Amino acid sequence: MGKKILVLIVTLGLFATILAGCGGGQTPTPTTSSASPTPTPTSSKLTLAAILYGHANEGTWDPAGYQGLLKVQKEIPFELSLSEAVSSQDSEKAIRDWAARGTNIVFAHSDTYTDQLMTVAANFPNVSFIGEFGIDPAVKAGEPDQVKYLKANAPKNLVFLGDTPEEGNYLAGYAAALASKSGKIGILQPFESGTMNRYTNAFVFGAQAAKADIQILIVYVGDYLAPAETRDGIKSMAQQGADVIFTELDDNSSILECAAQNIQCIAMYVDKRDLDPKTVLTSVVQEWSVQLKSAIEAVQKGTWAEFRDKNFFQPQNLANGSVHLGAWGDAATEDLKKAVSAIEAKIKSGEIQVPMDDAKPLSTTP
Amino acid sequence: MTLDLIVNLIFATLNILPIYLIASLGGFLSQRVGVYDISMEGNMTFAAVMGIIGFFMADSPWLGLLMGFLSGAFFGLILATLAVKFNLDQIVIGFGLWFLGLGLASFFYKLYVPSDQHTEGFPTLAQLVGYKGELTGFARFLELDIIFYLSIVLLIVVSVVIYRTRLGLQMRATGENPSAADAAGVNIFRIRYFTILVGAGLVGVAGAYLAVAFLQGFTSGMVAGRGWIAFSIIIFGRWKPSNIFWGCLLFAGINGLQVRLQTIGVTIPSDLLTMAPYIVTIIALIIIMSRTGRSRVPSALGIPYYRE
Repeated sequence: MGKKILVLIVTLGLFATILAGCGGGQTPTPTTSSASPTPTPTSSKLTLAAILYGHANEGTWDPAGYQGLLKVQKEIPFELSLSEAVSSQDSEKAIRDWAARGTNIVFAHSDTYTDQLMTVAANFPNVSFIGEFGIDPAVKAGEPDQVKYLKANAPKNLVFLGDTPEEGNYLAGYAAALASKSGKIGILQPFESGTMNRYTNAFVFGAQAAKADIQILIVYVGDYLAPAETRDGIKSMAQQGADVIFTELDDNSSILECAAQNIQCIAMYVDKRDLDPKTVLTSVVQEWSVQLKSAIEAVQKGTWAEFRDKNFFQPQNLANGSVHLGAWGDAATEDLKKAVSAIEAKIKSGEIQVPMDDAKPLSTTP
Repeated sequence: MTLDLIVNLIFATLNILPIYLIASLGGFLSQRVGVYDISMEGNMTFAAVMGIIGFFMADSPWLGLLMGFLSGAFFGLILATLAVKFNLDQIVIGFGLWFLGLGLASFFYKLYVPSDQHTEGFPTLAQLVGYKGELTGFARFLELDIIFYLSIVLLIVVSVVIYRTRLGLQMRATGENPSAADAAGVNIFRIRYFTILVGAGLVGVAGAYLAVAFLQGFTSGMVAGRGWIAFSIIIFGRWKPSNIFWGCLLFAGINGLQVRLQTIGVTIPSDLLTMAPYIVTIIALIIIMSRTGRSRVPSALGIPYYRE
């Protein structure tokens, strides 16, 4: 009998601990003081729920989105709730839960949640939904207008922010090629995909624009988070002479290994210069607050329909400040900064058009 | 170029070897005395967080490893109590502890781990002996950190203890035929408790080492299946420390090879390359397990012991 009781207590204790600590945690349920079901709030504070694939203070991708929300919150007060570590399989439930609780805005920070957003948004017409997508807003000859199609078919309460930092990546490639003393640079990708290929190709185009004969190594480590493989990949590229590495990964191990190898690193998603100014040449920063602010403002002012009509898909670009290079590291010379600024001005003016190419990028070393 | 690549690959393999070797030896110890430790992945994840917390308590990677060992031993205590004292299903306990580890890691990480700070790794042998020269040729062995050498010492110690000492004989007897061992006066319960605690502690050390030395921080999912890889290496190694060592070398080597193949422009799809270590492990397991001859599985592995 005693054994059975002990087993029961231990099992309940394990279960309780698992429930308390397992991922997918949610912050306390936001309260909405208004009973109004419309996406146009009255005088009560806006409520926004953010769905994150990882954790708000972990890595690079999710902190970029979270920091964007915090910046907007300073200008447009709203009550922020988070659902963290939400997998694609669980996302529909999480999105639906927040919508059902009367949250004014649900922001899903990943393009893996797109299908789920489309489904849930159709069921909650009085809630505003913000998703992300990496499609090319420009219409190419012979190809369908993806934005137009999506806009016509998506629910009227859903808009998308563009996950399109290619202009920033182009600048980063330009900077990397100019900064490289060996004439060889490297790229660390998690895996091949259309989005990742677009990011990388933009970097490659920028590098080749700076130095046509720049050699580029590319390593896929298999995941956004693979610290041992990341460090080994960087070590391997450094051993082959690469002295600037661009990393599109979700942790800091690449910066640490670049420091150990005494080479430069260009980070992505957030500004990582302060982590190691000697090693971080610069970062490609996705400033989500720019796009988020206009969408949240539209909900606040009750101008959602007009906003959606003009800004259904807001791409990231240098001109609107939604993507930019972060602070320069110690290794950046004045000449380098001037050269990159000049290119930046040309991109902003439209003189240089950064192509979005999702073909597999190829290493250029023989 | 090719020679350089091979040499770099060898040292990349040796660099990452301790993670797999220490975890595998830890899991081997539990299995050698007849108890499955399915919780290795969760154990390593929780130990990773505790390792980071330990580091920041005193700016010491060694304290991080100690915390990793203690947290692993804590898991071992739960496993031993439920599996040995109460004879509950070891597989179910293991899965429960796996999820417990993941949950505890997330819980403690948010409370205690400072974000955007990183740990310092372990000193290399070159730093310890004060070697200032260029690290080429055989001197490259000095670029490996002290934990690599300690993991080799651990391998030797485990092998000697298991096969050359009275304690090791008792451990093997406990895992092969506990009733006979019990009848011969071996305290089965003490042997199992002790070995499981030490084994799980070593698994924790591997997790803490991964966090303190490689990521130099913690992120959810960072263990990325290494606990399961270590578990499969025990089977691949047919429950023999020397074979486990070769299994760890094989997996770490394939991992390093696929990275280097990408840097020399080999046109094998990257998805296949990143899958290669796991595919090779599965193929190796199939070959090993299908070999004829006496199976080396501890005869009482996974079977609860009831004293008559």
